[in-house]
Amino acid sequence: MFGITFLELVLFGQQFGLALAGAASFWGLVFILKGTHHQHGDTCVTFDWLSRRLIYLLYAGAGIAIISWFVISFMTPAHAHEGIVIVPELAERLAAIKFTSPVFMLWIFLFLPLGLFSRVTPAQFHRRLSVFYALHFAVILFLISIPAWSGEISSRQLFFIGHSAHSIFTLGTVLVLDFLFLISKASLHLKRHIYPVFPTISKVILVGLGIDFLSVALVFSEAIALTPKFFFMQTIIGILLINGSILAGPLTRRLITAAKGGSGKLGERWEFLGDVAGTISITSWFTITFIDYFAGLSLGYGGLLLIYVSVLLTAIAIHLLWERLHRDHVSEQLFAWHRSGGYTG
Amino acid sequence: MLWLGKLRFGETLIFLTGILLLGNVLFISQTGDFTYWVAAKLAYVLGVLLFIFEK
Repeated sequence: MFGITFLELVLFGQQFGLALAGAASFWGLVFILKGTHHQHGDTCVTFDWLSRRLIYLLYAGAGIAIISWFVISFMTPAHAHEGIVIVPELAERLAAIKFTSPVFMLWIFLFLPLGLFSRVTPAQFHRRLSVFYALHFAVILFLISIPAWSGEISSRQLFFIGHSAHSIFTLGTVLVLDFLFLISKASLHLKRHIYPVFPTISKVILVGLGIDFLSVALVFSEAIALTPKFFFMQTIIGILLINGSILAGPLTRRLITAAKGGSGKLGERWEFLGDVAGTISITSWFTITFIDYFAGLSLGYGGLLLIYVSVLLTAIAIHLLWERLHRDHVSEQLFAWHRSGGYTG
Repeated sequence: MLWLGKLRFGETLIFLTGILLLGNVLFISQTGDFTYWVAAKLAYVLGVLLFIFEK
């Protein structure tokens, strides 16, 4: 459908899973180090708690990546037997699967079971959580950096590395940011600790996009073709930058001020703007990573834009509805009590 | 448009880069000229550097 092949879809699944797992291990490690840096109780305990929560995201991403990898492994010989003409880019992707398979197996059988220690010997495990995250991050960074293997370290290969690895710092980190935002919604204590980290996370996301821009510069004449897909991607990147500057700037500052001020609540207008900007961010990052995986898309610029706008409006509607239905009344009462001077904690 | 006045310098540059990229979609499709597209990417790098180091 629309020129999308099943193999490309599964390859995207692997990229998505690795980006999520990579970002979770990266930020898990950062939070552990941040917690250790702050020796005093509150901050140390909060970041330690947050880093433990990120294990769930790590395993969710790993699960998606591993299932996709197994499907790809079973599909590859079938493609060869059917005699389908594989375009060079696909051949390079298949070469990458062969090249990274030993590391993938090492990851599945050696590193992922390490998480079981969190159940058997929790105290020992949490003492070594930084090593656990560092190991995962190193392995995932390698796996995601080789989405295609050209056979040598050339500018083309460096482009593949930059063009793929940035997903940890862009799509994956946006997902982690959303996760942090959601888990902090009902707790003023968490908001006060998590919101001040948002500017740093935004910087990493923007630098991640910069890595992609630089990787494209390596193969500029080869990589650029004036296709509907190119124009569509540039439109989405433009939207991402406009949206990102508002989200990472005034909105984040507003969130931090609200959390520090005591209520943790934005005004109605800012809250609406925040919900919309957050949804645009995650939908757009998902869209450009998704579209990038399909070489032979048959949709024109208008068709792609129509689907994007439809998905975006649906996502915004679902998000706003969810917000309305899952309003945290207990916290709101607590905040109201705080505003009246009855609660100071 | 209240938020627009609240953007810092680096954020403004990133915001303008976004506008420039959107404009370029039309411009490149008409002319095939990438000059402003490259300029937008450079402005982005500068914007991110300012965003990182701006107090």
